Amino acid sequence: MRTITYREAIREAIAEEMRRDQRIFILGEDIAGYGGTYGVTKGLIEEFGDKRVKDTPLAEEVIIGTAIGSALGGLRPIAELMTENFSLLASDQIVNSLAKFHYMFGGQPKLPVVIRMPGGGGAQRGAQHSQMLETMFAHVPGLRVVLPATPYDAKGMLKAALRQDDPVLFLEHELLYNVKGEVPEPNEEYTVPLDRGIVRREGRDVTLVTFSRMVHITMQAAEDLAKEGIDAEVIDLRSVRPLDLDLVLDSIRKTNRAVVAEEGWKYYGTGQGIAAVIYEHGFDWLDAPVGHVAGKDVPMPYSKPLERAALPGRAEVIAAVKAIVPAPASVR
Amino acid sequence: MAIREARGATLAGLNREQLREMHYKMVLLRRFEEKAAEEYTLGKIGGFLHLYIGQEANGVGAFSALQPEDYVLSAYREHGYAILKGIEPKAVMAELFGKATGCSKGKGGSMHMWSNEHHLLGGQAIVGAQLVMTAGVGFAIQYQGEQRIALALFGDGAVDEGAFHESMNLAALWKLPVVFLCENNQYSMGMAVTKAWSVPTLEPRAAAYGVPYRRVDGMNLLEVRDAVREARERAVRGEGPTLIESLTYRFRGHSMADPAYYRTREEEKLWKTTRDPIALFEERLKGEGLLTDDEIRATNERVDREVEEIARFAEESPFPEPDELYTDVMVSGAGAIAWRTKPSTPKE
Amino acid sequence: MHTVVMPKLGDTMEEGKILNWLVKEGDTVAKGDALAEIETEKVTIPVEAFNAGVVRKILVPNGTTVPVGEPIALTGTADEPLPAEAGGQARAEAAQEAAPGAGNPTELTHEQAQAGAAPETVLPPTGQPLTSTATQAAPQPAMAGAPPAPTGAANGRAPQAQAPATQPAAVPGGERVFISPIARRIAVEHGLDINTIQGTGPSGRVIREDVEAALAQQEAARAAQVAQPQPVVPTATAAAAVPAAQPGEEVRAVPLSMMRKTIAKRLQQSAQTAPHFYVTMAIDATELGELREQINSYAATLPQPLKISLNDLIIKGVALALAAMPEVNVSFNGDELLYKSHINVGMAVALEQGLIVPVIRDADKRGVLDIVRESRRLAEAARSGKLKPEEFQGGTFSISNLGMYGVDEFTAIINPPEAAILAIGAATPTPVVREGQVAVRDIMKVTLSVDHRALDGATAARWLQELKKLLEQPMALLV
Repeated sequence: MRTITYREAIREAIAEEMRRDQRIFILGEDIAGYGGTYGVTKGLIEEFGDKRVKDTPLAEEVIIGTAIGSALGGLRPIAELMTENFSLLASDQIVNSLAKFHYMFGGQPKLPVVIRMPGGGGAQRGAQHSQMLETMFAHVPGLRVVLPATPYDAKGMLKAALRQDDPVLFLEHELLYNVKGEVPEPNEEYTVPLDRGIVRREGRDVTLVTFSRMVHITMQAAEDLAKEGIDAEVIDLRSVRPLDLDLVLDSIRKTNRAVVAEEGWKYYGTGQGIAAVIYEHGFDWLDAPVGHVAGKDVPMPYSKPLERAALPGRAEVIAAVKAIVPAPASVR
Repeated sequence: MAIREARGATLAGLNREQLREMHYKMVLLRRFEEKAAEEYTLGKIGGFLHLYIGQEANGVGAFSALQPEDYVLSAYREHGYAILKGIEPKAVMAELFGKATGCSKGKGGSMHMWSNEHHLLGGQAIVGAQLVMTAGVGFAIQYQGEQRIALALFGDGAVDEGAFHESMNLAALWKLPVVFLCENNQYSMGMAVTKAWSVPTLEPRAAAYGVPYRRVDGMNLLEVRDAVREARERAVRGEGPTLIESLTYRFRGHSMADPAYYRTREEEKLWKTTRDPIALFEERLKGEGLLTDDEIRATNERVDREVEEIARFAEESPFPEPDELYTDVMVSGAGAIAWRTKPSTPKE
Repeated sequence: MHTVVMPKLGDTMEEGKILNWLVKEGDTVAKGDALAEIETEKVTIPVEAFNAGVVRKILVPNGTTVPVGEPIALTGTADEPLPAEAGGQARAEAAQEAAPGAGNPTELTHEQAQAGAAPETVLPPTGQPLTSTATQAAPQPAMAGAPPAPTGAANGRAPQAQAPATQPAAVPGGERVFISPIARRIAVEHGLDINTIQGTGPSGRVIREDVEAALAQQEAARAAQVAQPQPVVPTATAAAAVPAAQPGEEVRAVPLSMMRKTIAKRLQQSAQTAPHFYVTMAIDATELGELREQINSYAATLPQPLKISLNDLIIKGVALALAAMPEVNVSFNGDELLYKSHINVGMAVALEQGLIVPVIRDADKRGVLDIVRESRRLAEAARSGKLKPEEFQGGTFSISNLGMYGVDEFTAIINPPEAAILAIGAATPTPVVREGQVAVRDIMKVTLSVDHRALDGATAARWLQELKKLLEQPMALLV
């Protein structure tokens, strides 16, 4: 297998699927001539032309409305929102239309709409450009919300998303675009399921449940813990809605302990939701309260040291694990 | 106004048969709504009920200018549109009753009617939301090179939403085959347009996006029809959208619970007695010798019988089965949790 | 005659007040005319006539508030006779007519409510009316030791003075024990008193390893006590006749685990409903033991080496004996016998917290090594609590082997709905007479417990002969 970046993996998925299915087109702000704010769609206009690679005005509500309407008219749109933060301008269409139509209209309309959006912090982009908003969407019945952490998953999950009929919010962390990873050759077809997590590291002392960029930070923490004799299992959820809860519970039956690690805000969010379903379905298997590592409860500050303090890091994951795992000598 | 005068047995290019059918449809819509109001007072219909009474000429006129394959997207005062687009009136009433036989299986209600078969893409309860989607449907038509249009119906409140402006701009920019028909009934709920609009008509707003604009008498069926026909032709020719502003009036409150304090009884009476679209159409046809009082009476009796039957159907239809609660949340059947150990089910 | 009802004009409207009638009796009204002005919780709004006609009767005067759906007027033709009494009686009838419209059962009209349309009082199954004392009993069961509920409690209001009776008694010596869920689960399964465990987790919480340490300690203590004489256990009948514990007796009550409860229930049912009889036979297991050695020397060379036990060979023998005599592979089922088409042999596995009987399916069709693998897998799963329901259900015959504890012979209780169970003792070197010579052979006594409803003594004996033949000439087990 070759090694490519997360950005290239997404671009390949789009191009391959557009070649495969003429109904697929992509629209968004500055995706054609500019090549995408993060360079993801670079080159697509040359291959597919301006009929299928549509630059739009800066008007998020109509971008998503157009994606929805075009799906109702028989197409399979990919809408790129320049950042997740701007999805709030389109949140009426996402929450009130995209998530509801299939149910509200008695199962008649199908909305195979994929909305891609970069999000997350860590690049000093300030309070309005650094948010993780998966919680808002994962709360809503009728949507799929996925956050791949590796180039392999990004390509495989985007292809899978374009081959099924549910609306998918595809959340890409801005700091993952340059992450490299092994991906099969372009001629090797593969997809990755949209509702299955994966065990990134096996361990027996504690289960670390995470997704998106925090997978990488959590893996580093697990390696550090191993040096101290604590054997952590790391689960990359890949999708937060639906949630692969059995994967988590199976692991907890083994380890009896869990820490949820996410970049988003701590309260009333995805991580607390996951902790709650662990308690609901796995209470009798726990030997300690579920630990939780999350972003600080503040708007993202700009200043570098403050931003660093606001984001959860390796040390916090390690501390959360040690708070619930007995000292290694007595583990053995 | 470009209404062609009647020559022989035709009016505006329509023969007697077509004209009487239009008359019948207006009467049907009104009786249907009156029956719905009655059923609402008896507790058979819940939630909100927004009646179309007074505005019938808009729907009947506009839809008579459409082809069956054209798409229609609208808001929450939409029972009439559903019927005019071809959904069985029984399925519409059953939807109001929340019954399994409703056109949205009882899950939508008064504000959410749909038919894939008849290309009726819903009523929206979020003001203006249908406008952005209409642009998208128009794009799909254009992308696939189809000879059809998407018609958006909305009220005078929707034009104050950002969605209206985003949609007008994109539709004009991409020359999308869409028609925007604003039924200006002069009140967005209780807010008079004179208090909500910074300009007296939509003309300057259309001009801002370079979109052709036409203002019509919304109580005159033939005028509405003509404007929509013309706009449809422009759209199909690839010349982009048209904005039609149709001046009309709803004879009832915004919803069943609205006593309409914000306007005077005199104003209502004036409209009802001088501008009732059904009476105006009947007078016109009678004047042209295309309709008689006996025929009007016969139509009224026929509609009365039909509406009783429609209500009976809704009453006798079953409510949805309990397991309908979790069906159709997602096409795949997925729910919040993707259980491995349990059978694939969206249930939590 | 048409009944005008108080209209529902809004999804939350429950009642309306007639502010002002806009028509009087005898007036002619058209469809759509306003009949009266009503006031709801939100607005003042007219009541609309849905039918044209003459106002014949106004049933509710100005200023009166009535629930949605309640008749407020009658309209009709001028000469149409009014219902008998268009006052109270007519209102009641009209209410009946209008009632189906009120889809919500909570929206009772006054008449319905007054006519006792509320749910009927449910009588006890005997059909006898409740006595006044019964109907006045306090709504909640009296707490043990609490004073009798005063009559004031009958109306659901607990008198203030009695409040202390409802407070929980102080736990003796009791502070709350902080213990993790998994630790509590394991402690309960093993009947371990959590008050005795020292917690080492955060804030002194008892965690899993604390419970496991306590269990290990208990196990060691039990092993040390094994030689001590055990107290006499009362027989089942005696136990039923006397209290489980005498006053003043020092006991420690440990709630039954789920497994203990299940064992108690199923075996009690078996012992009480299936008339057992027992047939014992001595089997010469010498060659069986030799065969075991031979198989073991081979199985040790396998990529995944195996160790075979006598029990594994017995399972195979039992399965073949059942195949030879299907009339033993049955269940008693009321007025019929069920012949089982599969031979699924259950093997009792002792656990610390009880016992479970995982099932080796189609044991007659499995090779011996396959049985070994399957029995090891099941025993392991049973001990780690991971046995799936389908792995301990569906057995057709069970065996219980206490040979490893040096037990010579014993009887077992049938595992329902099976018809028999084989209790296996230890294979013990025993002097026997063989071909006129005294020889030392490994003799193993097996006892078949039989459900006499399904099988008779002779059948049981013949089956044991079949088994004996198979185990004494054990090469047949390998075929």
